Amino acid sequence: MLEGFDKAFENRVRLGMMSILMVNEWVEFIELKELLQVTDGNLASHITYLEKAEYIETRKSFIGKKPNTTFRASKTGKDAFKQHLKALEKLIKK
Amino acid sequence: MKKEDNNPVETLNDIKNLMERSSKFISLSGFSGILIGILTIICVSWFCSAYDIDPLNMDYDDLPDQHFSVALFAAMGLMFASIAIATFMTVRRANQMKVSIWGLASKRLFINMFTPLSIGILFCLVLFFSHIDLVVPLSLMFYGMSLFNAGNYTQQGIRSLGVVEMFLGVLCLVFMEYHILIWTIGFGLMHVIYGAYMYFKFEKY
Repeated sequence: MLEGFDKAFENRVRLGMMSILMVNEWVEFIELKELLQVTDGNLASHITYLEKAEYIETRKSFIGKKPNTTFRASKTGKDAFKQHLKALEKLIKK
Repeated sequence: MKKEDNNPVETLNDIKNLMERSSKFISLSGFSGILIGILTIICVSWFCSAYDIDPLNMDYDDLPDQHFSVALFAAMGLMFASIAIATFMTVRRANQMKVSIWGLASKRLFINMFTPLSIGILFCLVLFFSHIDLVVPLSLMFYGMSLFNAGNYTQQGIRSLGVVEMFLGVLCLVFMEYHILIWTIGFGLMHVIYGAYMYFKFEKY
């Protein structure tokens, strides 16, 4: 395994999700789905992965009767992502 | 999105791309800028010829009250027409580019552009009835500030357009007799120029 690489970000969907959450606060499920062009089930499983790693925070609320779930990157998640980026950059410079 | 790809350069590019796509709305239509600019120039020319006003030598004290109310209605009409044209053509372009018209990025752009702009419009409306000679410079000023602010959430070039508009606003404070001319440059000519720049740079495929 390469030095500094985070297993959580090996997957493109999770990497993409974190990229979006680095520059946006509280993003809705549907927005993520649209930007990443993945299915509901696929996205949900990656969300669960990142939640377990405590890289993202989830907020559930209701708009009228419709459930609305939004996500943001946690401090841990942001730090991990930056670390991962650094490792990628190092790899390029080699 | 490809499933497996270990090329770090491509990965970094994807990250950058997603960050931009989720925070910047780049489907603004340049062509609508050209149309709005031309419409503005036609409107002002009509107004000046119909009421016999010299755009190079205008004096607020010489104008009868009735002209002001016509100017107010014309300006409001022009504003609504411009917003309608820009919205319609931007929606079309976003659909072509397969970008969500009401996504993260467009919401941000809308809020950051229209909060200062709508306060500015209200400000100018009130001024219209008390300090009419300040309406032209301040409308340019508020519009420029809104564009400058919006530049963070769309093509960066909009910021330069904003700076030009603000600068024209300052010029208006000095050259009172050129108000109509400067306003037409700001809302007419500059839209045509910037719209054409955007059109030829981003839209002509």
